[in-house]
Amino acid sequence: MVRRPAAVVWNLDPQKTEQRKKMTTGMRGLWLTAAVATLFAMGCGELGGTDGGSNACSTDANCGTGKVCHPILKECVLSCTSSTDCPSTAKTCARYDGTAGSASAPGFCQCSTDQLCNGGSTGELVCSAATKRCENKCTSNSSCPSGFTCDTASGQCRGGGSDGGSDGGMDAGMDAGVTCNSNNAQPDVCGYGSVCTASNTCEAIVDDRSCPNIQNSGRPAWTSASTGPVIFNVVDEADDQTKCTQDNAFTVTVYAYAGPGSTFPAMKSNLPGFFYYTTNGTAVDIPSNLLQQSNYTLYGNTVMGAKFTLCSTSTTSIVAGFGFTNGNGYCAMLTR
Amino acid sequence: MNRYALLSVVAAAVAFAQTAVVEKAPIIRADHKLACPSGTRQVGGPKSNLQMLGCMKLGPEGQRQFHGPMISFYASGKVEAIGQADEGFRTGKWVFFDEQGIKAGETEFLKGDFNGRRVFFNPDGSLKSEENWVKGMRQGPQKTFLNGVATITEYKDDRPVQK
Repeated sequence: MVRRPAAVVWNLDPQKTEQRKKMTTGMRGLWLTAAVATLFAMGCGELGGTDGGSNACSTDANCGTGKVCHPILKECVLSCTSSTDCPSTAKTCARYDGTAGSASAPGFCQCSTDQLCNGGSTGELVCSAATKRCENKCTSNSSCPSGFTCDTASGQCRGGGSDGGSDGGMDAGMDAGVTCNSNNAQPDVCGYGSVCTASNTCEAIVDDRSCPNIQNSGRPAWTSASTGPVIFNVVDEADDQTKCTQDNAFTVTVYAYAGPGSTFPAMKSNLPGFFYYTTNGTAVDIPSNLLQQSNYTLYGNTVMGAKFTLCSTSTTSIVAGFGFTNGNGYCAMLTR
Repeated sequence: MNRYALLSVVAAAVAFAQTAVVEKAPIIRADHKLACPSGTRQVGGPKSNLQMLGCMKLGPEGQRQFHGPMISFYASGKVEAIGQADEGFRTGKWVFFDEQGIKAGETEFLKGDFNGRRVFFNPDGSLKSEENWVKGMRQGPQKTFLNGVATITEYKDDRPVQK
């Protein structure tokens, strides 16, 4: 299935990843996000999802009925066979390697964004890249699973690795077909037009035309045969009101990887064809009008992050369109 | 080495290597005046919040838009780039400097896209690479230089041409 991978945390660079306020949601997911807030009272399940008592395990066989062995926690956790088994805060039923949970190979409920973990808002929970569950932000290495270290800026536990296959693939998916490594520069082995998700699976990117900003822009269609930079993630940041003297600030970071055989320049003023589109489809040259050199970050020379602020009279939210020349369109809703 | 990546290797001793000149970024003071077009006003400065010095006006939808000469700065206040904008889009030749103030490259823009010649320089001022762009796509010969020897790759529609 081809879908827009907007609501997934990508580990661009564990050492440099900025603390994230909230992930943007795709236009199709906006209403789901709003609904999540009311459903949050159902609980996060996974925070207390171990079965108490003797939870230690190394394979699923060590766990009782309705539980699987979490390969990072080495604890039995509640299992699922489809998303209907999962709370709205962690709606993906999958094994650790990202394959969908099923009756024959149950998974566990996995989160996708910090925002959803916190019931559609901000809070003290993060969607842990290590465990793929909603967890309290770590404050020290001791609050992380064995082999992981705490990134206190983001509250995420970083590092760790596979169990080396020592359990013969008998846990909740750690050994099974990891197809890419989300700690590597995007798109890792996934190739142009795709992205490596936090679950280490390749996912196709689509030319997002779901918002009027892109629809009215006159941008040519983008396909995986195109050559421009690919926007693979947009993060709705804490708003920097100092950038807007009269209107309301909507601060965002756009992440993209370069096209085949291309690199991003060291200087933001030399960054070509990078546009924000207003609702009417009017293009705004981001590097010359919005972006500061100090907010232009390179990860290697093929992945970049551009943090900038849009100013609007809206007091609640705006819909924004982004795109590079010969790259994909990307719609995002930014909220205050 | 890809067959098509290197169409030819030109073993030519290039005269530019002997005449290379290291160009330095100008020092821009806080009271620097730009020749702003009518209808715009000068905003920013070397250590301003904008990290930019330019001529601003409001666009058709009320958005901030630069029009006229522009200078972009590093957070240190040193010049990052000098160029100009046309109705909010980078246009014409822009010159870029690294944080040490050494000229790093020149790029020709049109409507915010690369359009024309784009060159990079080594720290000694010699030419490092030379590209040709048309509306955001590499077209024609793209050259990289090593010790005065140019490696040329032919491009069409942003892709190397296989011959």
